Amino acid sequence: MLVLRRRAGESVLIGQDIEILVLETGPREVKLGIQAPAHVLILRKEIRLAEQQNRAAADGLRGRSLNDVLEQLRHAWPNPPSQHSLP
Amino acid sequence: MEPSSASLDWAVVAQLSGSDYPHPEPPPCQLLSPHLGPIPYRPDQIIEFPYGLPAFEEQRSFLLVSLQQVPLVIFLQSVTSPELLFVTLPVTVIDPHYRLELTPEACQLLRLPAEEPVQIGRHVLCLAIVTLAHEQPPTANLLAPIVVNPAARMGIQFIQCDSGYSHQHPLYRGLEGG
Repeated sequence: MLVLRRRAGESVLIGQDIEILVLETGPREVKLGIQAPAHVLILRKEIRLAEQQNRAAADGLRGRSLNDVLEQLRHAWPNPPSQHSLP
Repeated sequence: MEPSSASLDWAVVAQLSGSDYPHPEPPPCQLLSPHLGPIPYRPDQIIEFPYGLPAFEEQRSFLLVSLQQVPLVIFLQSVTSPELLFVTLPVTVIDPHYRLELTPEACQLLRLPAEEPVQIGRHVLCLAIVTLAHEQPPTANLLAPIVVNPAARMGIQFIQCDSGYSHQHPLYRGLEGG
């Protein structure tokens, strides 16, 4: 992975037509401005992680019996805390 | 795979306090879930997800189903695609101190009043989708919980950016360690 140090107001270029500008830096987060052609998809990575995890969760159940699925859950979690109840 | 519906003591979760089934009137609709078997339900039990779920954006209608055999588990069953099912656990079962910080936009989507801070279990159900991949330790998605306002029958999958929660929280560690 390429690692660069940039200050607020500086930017990096990716390819011919993508610019990532550091707008603000703070102790916990940075504010970025992104200039890119309309066809380039820009996502917070968490959204992609949620998509991947949802697919994995749905695929993990496909073609399996409910008992098989619940058995796997019980195996990981033999003694559910009794003080909890729905919700 | 065979649905063993005869032995399943299921209920469609309708209220925060649990289930309102049996209902005086028989449920007029039924869907056949490959996992859960036939599920009779009333249209007013459907939770509407206006944006679907990430990767399943076209899925807008779900039922929350619980089984007496596994009282903590809540199944998120698609109404339009019966083969689509998610296993979920209330986030507070996994982490009693779980923090949910909804944005004003999320509150608006869920039709929650803006004046009160949202509390899990009081205003909303907050559920973590559990991934049970074959021969892999189960994980729970604490980064992007399913948040449902049962009063309005609205739901979203809310991605808690900046929360530090994992999309693959190991279930065993979280449950043993508290």
